[in-house]
Formats: sequence, C-alpha cells, structure tokens
Amino acid sequence: MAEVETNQQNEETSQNTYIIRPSYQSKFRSAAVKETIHQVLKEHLKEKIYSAEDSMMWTRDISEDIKAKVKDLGYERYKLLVQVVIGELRGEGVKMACRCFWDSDTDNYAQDVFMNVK
Amino acid sequence: MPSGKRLDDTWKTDELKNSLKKDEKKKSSKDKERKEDRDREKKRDKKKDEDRDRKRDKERRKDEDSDRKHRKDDGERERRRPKEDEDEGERQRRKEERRKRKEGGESEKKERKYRDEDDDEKRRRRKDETSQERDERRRRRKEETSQEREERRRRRKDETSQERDERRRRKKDETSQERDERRRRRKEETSEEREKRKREERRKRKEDKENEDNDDRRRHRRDETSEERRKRHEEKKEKRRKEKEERERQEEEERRRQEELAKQNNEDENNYDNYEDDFEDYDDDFEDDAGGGDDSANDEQNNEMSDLMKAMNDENERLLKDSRKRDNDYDDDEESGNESDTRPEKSGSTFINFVSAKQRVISNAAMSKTKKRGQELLKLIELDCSNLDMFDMPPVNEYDLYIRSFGRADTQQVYIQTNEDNADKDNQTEEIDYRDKWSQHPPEGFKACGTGDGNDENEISTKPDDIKRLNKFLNTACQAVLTLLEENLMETKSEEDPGRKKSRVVVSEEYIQLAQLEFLKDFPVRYATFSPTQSNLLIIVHEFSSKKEEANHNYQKGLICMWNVGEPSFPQKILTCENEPMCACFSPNKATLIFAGLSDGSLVVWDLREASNFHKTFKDESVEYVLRGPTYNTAAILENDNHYAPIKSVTAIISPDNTADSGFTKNGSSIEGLTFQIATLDESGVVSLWVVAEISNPDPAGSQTDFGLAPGGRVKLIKSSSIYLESPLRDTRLRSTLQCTDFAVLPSDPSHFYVTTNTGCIIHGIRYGGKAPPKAYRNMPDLPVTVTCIDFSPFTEPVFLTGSENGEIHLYHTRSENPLLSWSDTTEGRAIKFIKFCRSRPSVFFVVDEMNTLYIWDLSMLDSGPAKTEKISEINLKAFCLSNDHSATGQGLPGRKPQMILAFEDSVVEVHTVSQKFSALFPEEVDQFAELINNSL
Repeated sequence: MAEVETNQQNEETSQNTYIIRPSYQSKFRSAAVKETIHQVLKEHLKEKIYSAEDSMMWTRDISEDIKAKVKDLGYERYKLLVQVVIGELRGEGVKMACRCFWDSDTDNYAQDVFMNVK
Repeated sequence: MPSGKRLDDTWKTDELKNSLKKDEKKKSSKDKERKEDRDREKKRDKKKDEDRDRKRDKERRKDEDSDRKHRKDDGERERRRPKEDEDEGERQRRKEERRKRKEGGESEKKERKYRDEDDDEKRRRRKDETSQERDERRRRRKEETSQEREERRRRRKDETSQERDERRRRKKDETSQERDERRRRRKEETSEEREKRKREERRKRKEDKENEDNDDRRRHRRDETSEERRKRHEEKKEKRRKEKEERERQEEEERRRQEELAKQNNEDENNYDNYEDDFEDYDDDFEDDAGGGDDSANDEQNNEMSDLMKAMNDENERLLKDSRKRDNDYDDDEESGNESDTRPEKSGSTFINFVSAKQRVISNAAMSKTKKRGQELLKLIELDCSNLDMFDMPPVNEYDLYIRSFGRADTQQVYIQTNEDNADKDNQTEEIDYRDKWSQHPPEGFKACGTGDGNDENEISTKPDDIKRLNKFLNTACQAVLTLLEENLMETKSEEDPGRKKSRVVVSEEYIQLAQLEFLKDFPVRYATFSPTQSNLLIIVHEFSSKKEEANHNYQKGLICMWNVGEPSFPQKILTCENEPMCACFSPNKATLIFAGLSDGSLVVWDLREASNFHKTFKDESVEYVLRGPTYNTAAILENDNHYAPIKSVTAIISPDNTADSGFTKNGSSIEGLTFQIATLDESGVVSLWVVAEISNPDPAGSQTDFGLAPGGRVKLIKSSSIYLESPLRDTRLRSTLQCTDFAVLPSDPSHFYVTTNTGCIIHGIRYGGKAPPKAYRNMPDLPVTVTCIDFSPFTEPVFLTGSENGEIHLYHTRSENPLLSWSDTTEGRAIKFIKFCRSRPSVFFVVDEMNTLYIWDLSMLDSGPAKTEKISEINLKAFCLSNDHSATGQGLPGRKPQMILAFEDSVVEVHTVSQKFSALFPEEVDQFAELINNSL
C-alpha cells in the first residue's frame, strides 16, 4: 500500500524589460494552469506506486512536462517556475507554504494536488 | 574601481595611439577615458593629498623656511585665483584645450600643469571644507533629517554642478560600444606590448609613488641645497610615517562614509546621485594621484630623482611592510597599488595578471548598468511579498491509521463496545424489605387503605374471607354470651340483685324492670307482647310523644324496642318507622321478623337479620344506638287494598298443616317466610292477609319496581286477600259504625278468626271465605256494648274469653253462639282492659280493669268470682301480656317460667315471673276444665 502525493507550484516573475506588464490576453490564469497541471499529474502518476528512487525521476519529468505545457499556453513575459514534490502517504502531517516576492497585479501561481491510494 | 594598473594601461594606449595617430575618433574617446580615469584617480587621491597638504601647511607654518613657503603659497594662490573665476566654465575650457593639445600635442604639459593647478585648487577647496567641516558634516548627517541631507547634497552639487554635470554627461556618452571597443583593443595588444607597458607602468609607478608624496617637495628641492635636502629628507621620513598613519585613518573614515552612503542609498533610492558623487570624489582623489604620477613621470627625467631613489625605495618598503601588517583588509585598489609599487623592486620581471581586475571592472560596469535599470524599473513596478499555503494535510490520527491498516475493505467501523460500561459495584447494605400496602379506596375485602402488608399473606389466607359472615357470627355469639352472662348473674345474685324485686303483685314471685333509656323516657308504652316461640323476647311498642320535637331526634315518629328478658339493661333492637305504631308481633317460628301496624293503616316489617351497619346510628350521650328502619313498608304501595284506618291488631298465622314445632324444625329459616301469613285488622273492620316473601337475591341498590322495599331488604309483604267484615246486627243504625277492637285466631285452626266489635258481638270469619256456623257470638241481651278484648285458651278446648266495656266477662265456646258462662259486675262496672288466660293452667285467667285492678280467676276452685283481686298500681297500666309456658302447652322456650309484662304509662316495664301457685298445672285440671265446659254447653 503506497500513496503518491504531489504538490506543485508555478511561479512567474516578470522580465526586466521596459514593457513590464503582460497583455491582458497573455495574463497568467491560474485556473487554466491548474487544469494543465492536473492533466499532467494524472497521466504521469495514475496507477503508480510510490518509490523513493523513482520519484526523483518523476518529479523531474513532471516538472519538465508541466513547464512545457504551460509554456504552450502562451504566457509571454513570464518566467515560469515549477516545483514538484512527491511524498508518500504514511499518515504524517504535511504542511507546505511558499513565499513569493512579486508583483501581485500580474504574477500568480497555480497548484494542484494529486493523491492516489493504492 | 580604477586601479593603477588600468591607469597605466590607458596611459600606454594613449601614448601608442598618440604616436600612431591612427584614429581621430578613437583618440578622442581615449582622451575622454583618460580624463575620466584621471578624474577618478583625482578623487581617490584627493583625500590623501588634502591630508598631506594640511600637514604640509602646518609644517610649513612651523618651518623656518616659512618665507619660501609663503611665497610659494602666494604663487599658487595667484595662479589659482584666475582659475577660480573660471571655475564653472573650467571643464569646458579644459576640454577645448585638450582638443587643441591633441592637435598640437605639445600643449599637454601645459594642460597638465593647469590640471595640477586645478587639483591644487580643488584640494584647497576641499581643505577648506574638510577636517572641521567634514566632522561637522558627519555629525550633522547623524542629526539631520533626510531633508537636510538633501539640502546639503544640493549645496554640494551646486558647488561643482558644472563639473559634475559635464563629467556625467561624458560618462553617459561613453556607450557600451566604446567600452567594448576599448576592451577589444586591449585584447589585441600583444603580450609584448603588455610586457612593455607593464614595465613602463612599473617604472611610472615608482615615480608616481615618489611624486605622490613629494609633489611640493620636488618643486622646492630644485632650489634647495643638498644639506637642506638631507635635512628635509629626515623630516620627510617623519612626515611620511605620520602621513601614512593619517592616510590609513582617512581611508578608514572614507570607507565608513561609503558604508553610510550605501546605507543611505538603500534607504532612499533618490540618494543614488549622491552615491555617485561620492564615487566621483573618490575618483578625483585617484586622479590626483595619477596626475601626480603623471607629473612625476614627466619629472623623472630629472637627474636629481635618481639620487633619491634608493632612500625612497627603502622608505617605501618599510612603509609598505608596516601598512601590510597593519591593514590587511585594505581595499583591493590600495593593495594592488602597493603591490605594483613593491614588486618591481623585489622581482623586476614578475608577470602580473590584470585580467581579473579588468573583468571586475567590466562586471562592475555591467552590474551598475543592471542596477540602474532595475532601479528605474522598480519605480514602475511594485513588488510585494506574499505568503501562500500550498498544501496542508493534517497527520492521520491513530484510529484512522488502525482502521486503514487492519479494517476490512468496504466496511466501516461504526460502533465499538468495550467492557467499560459494564460496571459492577458492591454494597454492604442489608436486603431491602418489601411490603405491600393497599393503596386504593374503597378497600377490598378487609383491607383498608394503607393497611395490610406482605407479612400478612399467611394471615390473609387464614382469615375469613367474608367480613359480613364474621360480623354476623360475632353479633350472634356476643348476644348469646351476653345473655348467658346476664342470666348467670341473675341466678347467682337473685336475692341481692336490685333489678329483681320482690313483687308486690301476688301473682308474681319476682320481677325485672327493664332499663329506662334516657331517650325513651318520654315515650309511653302502648303495646307489649312476647314472642310466642322465643318467650324470652318481647316487644315494647311506644306511643308517639308530641312533647318531643321531631327535629331533635333522628328516630322518626314510631319507636319499637325489642328486648331480651335476660338482658334487661339494653334493648336488643330499636326499630323506627314513619308513623305511630299501634301493635306488633313476632314472626311465629323464629323471632327474626317483627311486624307492626301503624296508625295510618300501613304495615311495616323489620328484618332483624340485617346488619346493623345498614342502618342509621344515633348517639345520645356516649351511648350509640342503632335505629333500624323498616325493611318493607306498605304505605302508599297498595292504593286501594291498603288499610285506611288505624290497625288494631297484627297476628301471625301459622299455616294449619304445620304445628308450631314441626313448622319450626322442618322448614328451616330459608323457607320460613312462606309458612305463615300475617293477618291485620283495622278499626273499620277490614281484615287483610299478607304473605311474607323472602327475596333470595337482595339488591343493595334498592328495587326499582317495589318502592316499599328498603335497599338490601330481603323481606317483602304481598297482600293476598282482604275481608270486609259486616256487622252482624240487623239494626242498620249500628251497622255503619262498626268498630273493631281486638282480633284472635283459633289456635287449633288458624283459618277461623274472631273479631271483637263495638256491637257487642264477636264476628267469626274464615280466611278463605265461606261461612262458619256461628256467624257471630253475642250476649243474649243483645246490647250494643263494645267488647274490648278477646283471648283464646291455650289448651285444647276451643273456648275464648271476652271482656267488655261494661265489665262483663263472657266465656264462649266456638260452637256455641251464646256464651257458656258470663260474669257481670265482678269489676264493679269498670271497663275491662285486658283479659288473658293463664298459659300454664287452663282454668285460671287474669282480668285487668281500667282502674289497674288485677282479678285472678280460678275456675277450678271458684267459678262465681275472682279468686283474688289485687290493685297493681296507681299508674295507668298500658300493656299486659303473658308468655307461653312450654311445660304446659308445648309452646315457647322450654324450661322457662311463664312471665308477665306489666307496662305502665310512665314507660316503666316490669317483667314478672308468675308465681308457682298459678303456673303449676294439676294433672287432673285439664280434664276438670273440659268437664266444666262440656257441662256448660
């Protein structure tokens, strides 16, 4: 019985140009990104059983995949930051928090949690 | 940070470029660069120079050669003065000059001189400001607000605004392209060139160092003598040491200032300009130095210098060592400067790599550019810090974990039962006593509310179930015991007992006076009779007394008391009725019923078997009486068939088939009601016959159809027939006024009854109709005299005696219409009230007249008159009765002596025992009497 728990986060910071804000169309939409993340997580982690060795690989793959997919969404003038955490569900409590220094008008994050019980 | 190395680089290139004069443009840029570098150097060295100048000034003042110094100062000042005027436009001018120099080339020296002068001027300006001012400024900085600082900065800016603006402009003009170009060029320079340059630089540096220190000195030195020089040299040494220390201190201060400025910068972005200013100042210091170097390089040609070299080097080395020891944390610039100073001495041909320094400069430039841009952007962008909770999962509690790991799939644990709630406690108290108590009302059985408990269970089973039966038993048993006790008492204390008195009457041996009850005092006796079978029982019928108010008494109009002769202290039963009773009788076989005829013509019956609690109780002075109401009352029940006149007589008629004894024994109590009838006679001559009926299932709620029956009553009277008597007289005058006085039945045949009337005749009737041979018995004179009483002989002979108003006594035989014997005037004409045969002897009878005189007749001894005459009492005798003697007639209780009741008007009742003389039966007397009768017929 092993569980996989994934948590990730995308974080963007604006680039250092004098066009400092993204256009409205290309503004970061956390809902869409979340959906993307969810799909990626599902296709990667569905039917998987936690293993400490493999999860290293998984995190890398997943984060790359997510980054690629989110880039495809066309958020210009964003720097993307993807963080993937995989842990085993063994009953311990987990608390994750992050701290971002950003322009909250434009920058945002999206996160999704995937848990399976096998 | 500009370094000496770079300085030399630039100088080298400048020279190369100048000599080659390849590119005008490049050259101009180089000039600019050089100028910049020089400025920077100037700034850096400025402070040092200032300090040096300061010290020098001081020293000079002290110096013996103050004249010379003064002169020089004056000269400097003079030189400076015109420059000060042009201060603002100075830079511009210098630029033009430089341009000219480039064209001209030889004007460089002059230009440098100018610059030196400029520098001096600057230095002096600074000096004016410095030390005190700087301290003050520092102090102020701390105290001042940012505004003030701003102000100061502005002031400072104004001072050199022109210069600075120009410089800045120049800097800005230098684009990155230019810089890159320069860099490229540098790279293109061959190592040879580099080597060469370095060597040159090294040399220059040495000279610089010297010049650095001895800017003014050199000038003086030219004029001075060698002695003076030596002297000065020594002084110089001293000075230099001091200067070094001073410099170090200043550098530290400078560093501190920079840090402060950096802080300020952080605090306030707008301070950035100021920061730059400081840098510029620093650069100026360096430029100064470099300028000095330049000067010295130029002056190096001077031969004098070579003399000094050795001493100088020694000195430098020593100083360097000191400084290294003391200040390991010197700036890179300083160190590199020192290195470049010392190395040529130690290892003349050592390769010094300036690439890292170069790169640092480049990166610094890039950094400053980025920084600048960032700062500009920061004004546009507002960044803020945000804390985000990414994920929060509480730890699984133990129970969930347990269920998850050990629970079954598809099931859910909903409830757990442990043995915790199965508490068990000990106690040491004793067993609880349980007891049942009856809590309902009305009580059931003998249990009353709040009585009875569990322990009684056995008792209950042993106790009789029927409380009524117990009561009944107790009643009868008590009565029997009481009677026995009283009889015993009487027998043992016959003589002394005050209740038994020696009779004043001759006929009686002794008598008992019944107790006079308080409430009966005012009720005179009307009638008294013995029970025919139970001769110890008697009935006293009381008159209604008008003196008593009805309201005061619970008993009603009529009162009848039943007594037991053996228990004279208290009446056995007290009976009440709605109207005044006239006469009464017992039931024939057993004294369980009492019948009474009332003055209103109604007949009532009391059932003595009824429980006393069915009846009202009346309490009179601590004595409780039970007042029994009638069980059955015919009043208003039978409308037409009822009597309408006062009842004169009530008689129980035993059916002819049964003798008294057989009827008593055979039929028993249950059917006794059917064995006799009641005959009543009212004053108007109506004889009614009643059947006594026993009700098997009495209704305690009362009958709904028979209103005469009391609730729970078991006896009722049913009228069977009525006989209307007619006057036997043919005289119609008298017929309508027929009044009956007394009634008697033939003992041997109860069907025949005889009624005394006011006509002088005794009417003979038969219960079932028909006619008997003598229709009436009458005295021969046929006078309408009221016959008052009649009594049959208790013996076998069917004879009866009648007493009349006029005192006549007749003896009749039932078969003969006329009397057998007649006696007149025996009572002296007084009316006869009572006439009774003696119950023991057939030939003896008693007569009482209205004057209460008792006449005792004994026909066996004397048939002409009474054997004895005796006055009984002055008080009017109201009742006279004799009890049956069982020994003589077989009726009544056996073994009892015949008794006689004398009831007086004052309610005194005396029960006399008939004396032996009149009760003892002669064996031949019955025959004698029969013979007498037969003879009379």
